[in-house]
Amino acid sequence: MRRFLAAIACMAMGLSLSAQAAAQTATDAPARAIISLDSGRPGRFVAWAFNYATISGRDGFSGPARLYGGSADGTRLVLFETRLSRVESIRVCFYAWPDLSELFFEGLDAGGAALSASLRLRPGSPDPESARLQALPFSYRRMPPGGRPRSVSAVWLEDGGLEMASRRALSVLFAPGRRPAALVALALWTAASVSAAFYHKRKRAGIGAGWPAQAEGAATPDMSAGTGGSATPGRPRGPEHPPSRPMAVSVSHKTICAATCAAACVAACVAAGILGAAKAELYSVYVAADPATRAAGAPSGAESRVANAGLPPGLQPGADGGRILILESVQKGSYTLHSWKAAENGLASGSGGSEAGAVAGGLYFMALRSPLEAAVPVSAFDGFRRVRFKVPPLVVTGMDGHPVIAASAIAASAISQVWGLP
Amino acid sequence: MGASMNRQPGPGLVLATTLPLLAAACILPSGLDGGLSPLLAGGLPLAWATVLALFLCASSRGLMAALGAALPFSAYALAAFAVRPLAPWVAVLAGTSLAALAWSRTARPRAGKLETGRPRADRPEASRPLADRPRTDGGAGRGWRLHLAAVTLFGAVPGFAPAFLGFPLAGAAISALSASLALLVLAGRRR
Repeated sequence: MRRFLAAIACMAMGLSLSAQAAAQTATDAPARAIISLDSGRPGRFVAWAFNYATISGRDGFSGPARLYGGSADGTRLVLFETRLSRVESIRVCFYAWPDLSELFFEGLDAGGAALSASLRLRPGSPDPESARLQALPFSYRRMPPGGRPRSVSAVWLEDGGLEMASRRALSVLFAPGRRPAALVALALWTAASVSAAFYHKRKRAGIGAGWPAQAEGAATPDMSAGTGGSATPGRPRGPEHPPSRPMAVSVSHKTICAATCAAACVAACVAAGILGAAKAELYSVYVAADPATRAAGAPSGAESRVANAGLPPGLQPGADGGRILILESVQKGSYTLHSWKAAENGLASGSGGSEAGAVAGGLYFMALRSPLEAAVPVSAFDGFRRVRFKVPPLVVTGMDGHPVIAASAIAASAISQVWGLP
Repeated sequence: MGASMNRQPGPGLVLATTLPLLAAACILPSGLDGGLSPLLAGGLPLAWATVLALFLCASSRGLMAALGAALPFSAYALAAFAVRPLAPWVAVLAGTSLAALAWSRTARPRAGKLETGRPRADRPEASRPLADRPRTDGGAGRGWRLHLAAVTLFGAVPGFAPAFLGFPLAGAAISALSASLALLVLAGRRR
């Protein structure tokens, strides 16, 4: 009987332990979701471009969600990141390059349980455009201290090849410049604060006109140090100047001055903060890909001399003339687009990746400077068939729900370099 | 010499504070490739103002004038160079500045180094807080400056420490507490 009871107890213990293990396993193992690429073909994506996918799950999604991309060499990068509030499916946007071999998704379902998904990607068939982009060089950047030049000679820019063109663009053209309005506000504040200090010093010395006389013995906190209680020059004392409430007048004037100074300081802080706020910038310059195309579209000698008259000596084209690229800055909502395009009659022409001034076979070299907040949308690159980023960017969801390229991390000190095929 | 070190803040102090900051704002580009820490971007102008005030005009009024003159430059640096969000870091910088100012008002010179005797009613220094009264012993001017600097740091560091470790709201709360303690000390002395 005892053996029978012991056997029953052991079986019950074993069953309970296995049930607990099964429950723990069920709790630890993340639920599954499905990644579907918008290309329509399973596992097929467009290399050197932004791709879209839909991630669906039985229980929906909530909270933080991340999409990782894995390469054949084992590197894993975060490609997309967002924060959700109870949605049924997620539409993700990610940048793909030829070596991208797998996508991993990690998130939470609507109940807060861990959720994951993965998708093996198939490499696309090699094409000439992809090979051309693969061969494009990137260069380093020396932060330009000055402003952006209004025009530049294409001959100067492209002399030395594509790598030298990218280096010159990064080190000379792609400059943040200055914000004159903010500097003017700070200069005005400097002048105002120094003037106020001068006025305060003169008032303390008793030189200011119209200040009521102080009766002997009445303490004045604003008097300069070391003068003691003796009469200061210019201040009459004696019974002909009766002290009618000197302390009250002193306190109210002092309070008014302090309040005025504080209000002016607050106003200056607000003005400096608003006018000095840094905006994200997208720079773009057209680069002819080979020497033959550089010669095409060159203006005549007379036209080039007129167009080049305002260029600094270092940027003057050679005697054979050459294309002139003129700066055009356009405000695009949360970011500013600065593009140097071929000039026609001294004006920049065209917009985006297709323009009248562009010569077939050319490239666009671009740089994205967005260190403080995500501001440049993915749609900024819609005018290009293919884009090659030096480092695959992280895409996040903007305030309007559209995909936006994330701000650069502090340690990265990144200005994102991009080659684009129009 | 010691008395001249503790003179009231004048246009020289304000000019020495604002002119180099204005020059730096003109020289630096309007944005960098990478974002800076808000403590670094917004704190450098305030630190410059504090050092200058302690060196040129060792008094709490001088500190207040210098910090007030440097505040718009700190706001510009935060807007142009600091990563977002800014609100918690603005609270930290404002809190530590106020705490430093409040504690600087509590600094008092060593006993016996001021003029002896009862304060006369006709002497203007009688109504001023101890931290703003002139010293008469020129040899202890540097000692007074160090003392004032130590008290100012004592007020500012408790708020900076958690913010530096990544907890800006905690730093702002501690700075508020530090400023309140300083005001409590001042109120107790006036009774």
